[in-house]
Amino acid sequence: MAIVDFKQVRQVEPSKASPINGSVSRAMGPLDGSLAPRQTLYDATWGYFLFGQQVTCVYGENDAYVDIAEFTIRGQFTPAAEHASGRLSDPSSDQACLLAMTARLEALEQMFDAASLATAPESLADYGTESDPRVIRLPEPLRDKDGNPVYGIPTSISVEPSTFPNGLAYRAVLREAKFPDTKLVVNDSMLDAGTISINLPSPILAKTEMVWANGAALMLKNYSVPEVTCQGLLPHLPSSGRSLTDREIRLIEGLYGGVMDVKLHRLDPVTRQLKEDVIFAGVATQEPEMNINVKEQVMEFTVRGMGRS
Amino acid sequence: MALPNVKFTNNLGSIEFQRCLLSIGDNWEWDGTNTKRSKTIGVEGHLAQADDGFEGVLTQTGSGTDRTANLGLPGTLTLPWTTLHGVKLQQITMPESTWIQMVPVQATFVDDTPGDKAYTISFFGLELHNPRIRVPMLDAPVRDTYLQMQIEQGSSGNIATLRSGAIRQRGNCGVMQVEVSGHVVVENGQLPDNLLFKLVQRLGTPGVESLVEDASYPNGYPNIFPIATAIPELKGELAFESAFVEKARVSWNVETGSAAVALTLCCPPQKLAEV
Repeated sequence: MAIVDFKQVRQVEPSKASPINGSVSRAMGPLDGSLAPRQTLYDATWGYFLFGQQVTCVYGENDAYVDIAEFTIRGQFTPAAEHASGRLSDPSSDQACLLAMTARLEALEQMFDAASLATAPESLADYGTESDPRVIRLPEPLRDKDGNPVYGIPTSISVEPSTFPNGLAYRAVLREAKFPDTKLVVNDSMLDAGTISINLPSPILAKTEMVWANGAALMLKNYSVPEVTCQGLLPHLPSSGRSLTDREIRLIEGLYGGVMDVKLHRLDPVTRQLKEDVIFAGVATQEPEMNINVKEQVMEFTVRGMGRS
Repeated sequence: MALPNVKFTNNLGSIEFQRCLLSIGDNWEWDGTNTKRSKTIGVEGHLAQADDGFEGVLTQTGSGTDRTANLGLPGTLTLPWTTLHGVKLQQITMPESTWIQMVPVQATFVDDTPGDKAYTISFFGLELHNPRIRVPMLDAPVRDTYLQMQIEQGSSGNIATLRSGAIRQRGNCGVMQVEVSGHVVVENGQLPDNLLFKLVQRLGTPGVESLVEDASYPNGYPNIFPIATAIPELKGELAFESAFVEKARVSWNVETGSAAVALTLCCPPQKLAEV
């Protein structure tokens, strides 16, 4: 969960550029993309590109914000670069040039599509890292302020007006792979957009109205037990031939005993280690509900829990 | 004269824009009852490679002890001629370009709480953002008893003016309920200390705080307090006496770090308090 720090990017000096694959070619390519100060001119997957980013602060009802970044990559594939990379045998053929560049664009699209269909990792600590199949690593030299790779979630990719077959320009937008540090877990099933509603124990009062005076005489009889309601979402992407996902089945079967444990999986802000906080354990459940929105591919889950007196 | 620098600082850190062009505007929005004022500030500046970049005011960035909190708050915007407080950062943009020694940056800010009015209230020190208050008024219930036979109207004794109606009785004023709601900031995935005990307001000593164990809550009677003690912002006409917490509810969104609090305070029927 990071944005690109432009201190990691250094000015590209023409004298230090080199032909792609060392061959005599009109296409100039990468220098040293792995070491700081990083310089690159060309990436094997993204082509030649320009980069921009925008951070938007989203404010909640508590007047505090969470920011989310959007990365924009304007890239271009050229016949010379494809020829120098060995992916285009006949650069004099316009048809061959177009096919070669189109193949590169399709490879990018397939990478975006595969990431969008991937499921979340089991552990919160893997969210937004190289172990998360939903994210795509940005090309060198785009790294964060600590020199680590930056990951994004694909948002869109579109072809820009280009003069075929001299080049194929595209615009790709990715959302910062930023995820909440805290997740709600019900019976070992991690939910998205989790909320816990707590009706705190309230006084049970016997109210007697008086004929001769305003107000009422209140007598405290007892306190109600606390009641909690847990809500959350799960993605609904069943495999072919099935109607529920493994996570949904695990959640349902976990509630057969009428008892639930509710925990928070929290990433420590300093160590980034995963911590488990038990919010309540062994609570009697009431009225669990699971509503599936097939078109939106999401399952909404709700369950009430009764506290103990 | 060199173009000025502009600096924004909040709970997460700071970011300083160099060689800035500024645009500042005041807006008044009329909603039929009130005019709400806001001030927008636009900055077109640069960041130098030698300085910190965006990360100064972003959440969840950095590593180790440098890692910032998961929520950002409004901060201070230092302009060449003045300093604005309580300013909200809206957006920062680095357009697609070539980054050399300096990077062009555009940033927008808004101050939607101008002036020195109170925009939050506190309940025993717990700050509630975007608060709502439902004000009770003296209410004597009305009970109509419908008759099975017609009765005369007035005392005319004229059977031609009999009517079917109801006998109306007006009772005494019932207890009043003040409803207070708002949102609290939940940092780093943990509710504020003693939030639940602060909301239930019961006499006695609390045990280890547990959300569902009734035994962990104080065992005594409801604490009775003047509303002005619980909510100092309600001193004056709404400073009702002898209130206690009748109901309390917390809705905690664990991912966004926001908890909505709703309280119902019960108090005897009384007129507006003396200022």
